[in-house]
Amino acid sequence: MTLLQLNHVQRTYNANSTHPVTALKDISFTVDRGKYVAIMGESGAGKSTLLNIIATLEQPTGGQAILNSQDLGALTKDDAARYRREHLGFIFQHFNLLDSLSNRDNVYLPLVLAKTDPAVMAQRLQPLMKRLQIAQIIDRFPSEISGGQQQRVAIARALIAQPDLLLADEPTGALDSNTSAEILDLFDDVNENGQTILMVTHSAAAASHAKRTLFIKDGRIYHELFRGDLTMKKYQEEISDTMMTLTNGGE
Amino acid sequence: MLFFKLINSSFRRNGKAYGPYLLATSMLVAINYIFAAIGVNHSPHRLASSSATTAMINISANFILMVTFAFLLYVNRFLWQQRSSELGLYSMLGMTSRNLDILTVIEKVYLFIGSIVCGLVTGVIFERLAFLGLGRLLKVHNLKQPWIEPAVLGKTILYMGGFFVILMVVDLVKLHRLNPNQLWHATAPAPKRHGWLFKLLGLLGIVLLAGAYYITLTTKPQISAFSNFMTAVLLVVAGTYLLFIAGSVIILQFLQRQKKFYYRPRHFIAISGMLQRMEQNGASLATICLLCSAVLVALFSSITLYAGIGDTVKLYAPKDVVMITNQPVTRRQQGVIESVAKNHHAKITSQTSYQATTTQNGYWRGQHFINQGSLEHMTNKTTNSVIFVSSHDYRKITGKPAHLRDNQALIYSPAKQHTGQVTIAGHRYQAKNLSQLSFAFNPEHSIYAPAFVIVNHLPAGLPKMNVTGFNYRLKGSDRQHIRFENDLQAHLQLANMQLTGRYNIHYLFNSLYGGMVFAGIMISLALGITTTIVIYFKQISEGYADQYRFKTMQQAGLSKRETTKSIHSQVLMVFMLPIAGAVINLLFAIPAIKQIMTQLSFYNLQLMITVAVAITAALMVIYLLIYGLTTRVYHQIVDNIH
Repeated sequence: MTLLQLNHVQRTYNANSTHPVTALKDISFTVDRGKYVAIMGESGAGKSTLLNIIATLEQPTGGQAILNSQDLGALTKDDAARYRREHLGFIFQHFNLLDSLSNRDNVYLPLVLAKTDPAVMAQRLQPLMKRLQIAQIIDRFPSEISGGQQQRVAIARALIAQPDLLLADEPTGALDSNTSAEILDLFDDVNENGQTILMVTHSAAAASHAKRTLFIKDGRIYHELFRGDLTMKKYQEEISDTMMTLTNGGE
Repeated sequence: MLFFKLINSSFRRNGKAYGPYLLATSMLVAINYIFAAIGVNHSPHRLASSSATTAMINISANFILMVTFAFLLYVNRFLWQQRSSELGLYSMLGMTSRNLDILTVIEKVYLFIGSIVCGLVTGVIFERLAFLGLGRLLKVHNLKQPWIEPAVLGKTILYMGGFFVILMVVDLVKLHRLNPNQLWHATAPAPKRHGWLFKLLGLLGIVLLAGAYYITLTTKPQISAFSNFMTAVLLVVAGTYLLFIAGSVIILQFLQRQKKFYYRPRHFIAISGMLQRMEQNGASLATICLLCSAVLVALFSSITLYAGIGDTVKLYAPKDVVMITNQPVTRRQQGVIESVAKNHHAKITSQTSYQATTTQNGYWRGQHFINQGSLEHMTNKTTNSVIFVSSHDYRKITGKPAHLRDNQALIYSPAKQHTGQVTIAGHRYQAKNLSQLSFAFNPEHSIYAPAFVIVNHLPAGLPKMNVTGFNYRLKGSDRQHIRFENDLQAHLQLANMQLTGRYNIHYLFNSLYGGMVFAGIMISLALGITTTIVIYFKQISEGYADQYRFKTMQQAGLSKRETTKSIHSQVLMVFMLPIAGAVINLLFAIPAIKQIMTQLSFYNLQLMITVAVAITAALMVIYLLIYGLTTRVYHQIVDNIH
């Protein structure tokens, strides 16, 4: 069943100026429920713009982005905010935890905004704490824990609202390789539990955890890889090769 | 040259910070100059109260100098925040610490020259205006003021130069203790965990405030009233700091534990945000609160005193001239009065005289007046005084019969009513309140304003005095009136305490309280500028801190409008705390000030309330205006990310 559908999405900045910048030229793809998709590309390829459009933080200037049969371009700003907190979970490179809140309150943030009962919040946090191994640090503050732990808290925050789609923007970009591997394993685990994930990255190792990888260049989808029955190592090599071709401007 | 180019571009980029900073320092320089220039002016020296006025102006000048220095030190921190990342970048790009030193020195020299030039120009221009204002307040018309006081100019430059050198040294020391990376990323302070000591401090703050308020509420018009008030001020200062720093955190943490309350969208953001703000800004909020309190109290006391001069004069001199003599006015004295009046072309009218007991000082214990006798026997218990007047004399002056039996008394006591069974000077009386007494006054000009007791027979054994008063009409200036009164006193060979002339008293009070109002307004102005800038820089630095918080909350699904609303209300709440604290401080200060005012023979409660309400309202309006203006800058900063 299709969860996300992009039809010829376009995004142009400063359309009326003498130097319009087209970040996305023509992007079309679909993501089915329960899938784990990585989007790769170099800096400036339009990855972040694409993610922002799916995240309802920006509107496409052409084409359509449909999530769960909701046209994202038709949302007003306030509707978009409500839509975000009900249907989307975010994970960022720099975790983006609020330093004024304890880890527990950071995780609760989306639920509090949705006016959930405190008892329900505690109930939902319980299994997440176990799965993400954050029970010990839950009552500390973000500034008191390591980067890997902060990212676990951020994952908990993204998952607690039980979103339709989990959006991850370079989730391992600020972590060392061991911690990255741990976080990526967690993503696998989360996906196996039925969570749809869309991850933007330029790390081949991160992308190799996904079942499908889209390559973007100059605002278009350039190539697509499926993991199929390949081992993760083999798949990662294939991704690296594709990236290399992409960078060198090959066919 | 590269350094100057860099500094110039930095000034342009950080105009939001440097602009208001320069404006504030210039105005402080101007106020410092104005005060110092008035201090050295010779015109006020001819005033009756010249020594008191000059001393007051000098004390105020020193106080403002201190405020200026504290302000510079405080605001320098904010400027440093703006500058440090820039210096960090230069350092990473290969500037040696010597280069950075030069940059810092150039920056400070720029700021110094800018504020000195703008400030002194403003100061020289407005000094004349200030001096005219002072003249008006003092009711002196022939003040002379040169355009420029070169010595004061030099002194101001010297002081400000010294301050800026200190700031420079502070910055240089900071610069050398940090490496480029630390300069580049100012580290965000981690939330602190607080132990029992913290709670204890919060409680101590509450206790200190309660103690201070208890003192002000129970202050009696004794000789110790003023020192009590100063004690209360010290307690309030310490208590406010402790309460804002520790007490607020404790309260917010308590609210945070109330899950049903805390986990509502509005409360959630507000409480956690306020908690963080209080942790970081408790001290600066306390400073704002105390500055506002000081402005309120200074303005309140000086304005009420000035506005009440008429009342006070009336209490010192119920008639134009009042004489107190041991014996009734003799024929010879009457002749002197008439001949002096003739010399001055003055016409004497409505002369009255009566006999009364001398002022009996003491204090009330319940309905008993404990009489200590004359003023030499006063102790720190002394709060009141009484004067007996016979009903016969009462009728003679007012034209109304008193209708008293021998055990009855009429008591006129504007400060506090005494009715029912009272015992005064060993006699028991059934006392009735007298709400008006035209000839009531304060013959000793002491801080214990007397109650007048009308009885049929003056109690035996108490010394008596004769009070003679008359009005006079004289065509001429105030100065001529004063000359007449002085001449009269000289020819009658009476001491200062024995003859009081209304014009003299009026002139004295005007020069004394006028100077006080002037000092009060100038100090308020200086504190007001300081407060404004502290608020402004707080808003700016919080704006930068909130930028990313704003963003994260929107990503988590808070709409832009909701975010704006919640941050707005939270900022407003944090802003209202200091002003609310200041108003509370004023409310509790009023009873004590009222007692001190009573000692200065001022009883007009209605006027006091009017003044209090007026200045509080004015401060509120100005405060909200500042809030509105600075919040706009805040929004510009926060919205910049989108």
